[in-house]
Amino acid sequence: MTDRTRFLFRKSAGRGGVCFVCLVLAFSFSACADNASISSPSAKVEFFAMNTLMSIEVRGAEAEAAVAAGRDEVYRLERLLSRTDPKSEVSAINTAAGSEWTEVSEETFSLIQTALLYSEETEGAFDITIAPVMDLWGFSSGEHRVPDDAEIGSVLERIGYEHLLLDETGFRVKLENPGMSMDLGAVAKGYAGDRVKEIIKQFDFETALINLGGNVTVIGRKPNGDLLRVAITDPENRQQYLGVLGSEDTHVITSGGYERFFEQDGKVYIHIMDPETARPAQSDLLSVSVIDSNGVRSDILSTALFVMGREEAIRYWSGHRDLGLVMAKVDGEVLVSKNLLGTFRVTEGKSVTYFDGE
Amino acid sequence: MTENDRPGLRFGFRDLVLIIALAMIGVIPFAVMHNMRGAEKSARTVAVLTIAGDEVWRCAIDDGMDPVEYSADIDGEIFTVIADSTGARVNHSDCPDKICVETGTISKAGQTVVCVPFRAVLRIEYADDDPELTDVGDAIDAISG
Repeated sequence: MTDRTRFLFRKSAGRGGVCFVCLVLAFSFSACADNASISSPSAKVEFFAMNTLMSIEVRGAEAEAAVAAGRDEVYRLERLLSRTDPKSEVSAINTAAGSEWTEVSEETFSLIQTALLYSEETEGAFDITIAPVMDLWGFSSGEHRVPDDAEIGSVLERIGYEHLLLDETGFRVKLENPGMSMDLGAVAKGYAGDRVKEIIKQFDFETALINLGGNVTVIGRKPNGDLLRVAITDPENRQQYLGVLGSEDTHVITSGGYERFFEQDGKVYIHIMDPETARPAQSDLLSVSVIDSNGVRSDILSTALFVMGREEAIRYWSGHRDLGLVMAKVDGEVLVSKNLLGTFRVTEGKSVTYFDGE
Repeated sequence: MTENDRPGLRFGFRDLVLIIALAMIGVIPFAVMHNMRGAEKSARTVAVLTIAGDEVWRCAIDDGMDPVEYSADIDGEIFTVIADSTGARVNHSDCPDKICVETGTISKAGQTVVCVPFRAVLRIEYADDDPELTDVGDAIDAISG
């Protein structure tokens, strides 16, 4: 080895040493970042409420307190909004149907008011007075049955959001006709998602995952900075997914006939009712998922757009392009709003169309 | 003499070899760890049944296994689950709505069958406890719908 070669080798070794140290440091930092998820405290609660299984999972310094506060909030809302709890404000309204005004809290009043706005906006595809129809078909009790035409005609006289009256000055609510009944089931979980999200944000936390019976709310990112991944159930095969959505600070809410249904004489009857016919919605969609920062809006629209069907849903989306929509058609095709391109990854082998308006 | 001709700043073949070698030393552990983590994520799964929050049954899901059945008596009502090589399902329930039976078979970690009337939850989990908040199964954090 010449002096010059030895010199170069020493220089190389010096540079290499620096490289080596850098690599070791990079490796160590990466490992630390990865382990942050382990060192950061996390907490999870799982409980039954609002007639479904719910879970709240939080990572962060105040994880335990955050999940407990979130669960307490869901319980509080259930007491307020449940149709089956005789002490709830909704039960009080239903009991007084056709006779008296019922004074409710500003919170309940505001939620009912919002529901009515969406009833008007969706031209009745969403209607919180649908409860008597659900009862008639046995979806409230689990004792399913197919009613006859006379019963359908009769129940149609007892529904209609235009017969739900609001008195803003005194936060009073009245169902105009006897036998009417309201059910906030298609909006309460979305509202609960909004409220739990607000409450968790009051704590010192990093990431939260709220699952209220399939209504998913994510806050923040994974400890390594990656987006949280929310899969959407394939309505044709519940073991599979339509695809996976990279999510941050959003609600992902899905409605589909596959969730609750019964069969009679070879025909399937789903639980999502069309308020216009008082029969199961004859939709050309199997499921609708709405991705939005507002849980109430997501929850309401997942039901309403399902009832409206593909064409009307896309027309609605054309006027509300801030929403993300994933819809499964009866022929197996997946329709995805174009604003989810790059965010929603459709399962391999699925036929997909990205729509950008009517 | 130009800058590149100066001995202290000359970049030669051996420098390149050395840098590549060191880079590989740095990258290989990443690759190995990543693969190991991937392998963990495709690890064996178990079916777990909880009733009113208490775990009452746990059964490993293995390829080629014979069906394993478990029946619970919930205040005189019968609730039966079956695990086999395809996953787990509620085979029978005396509950009024039968939503749990209609849900069918679940097979992926993170999937659940819920029976609200009986407060029963049948779920698929990884065989080894995974404390990660954000990994409930197949790199999925939550399931909507």
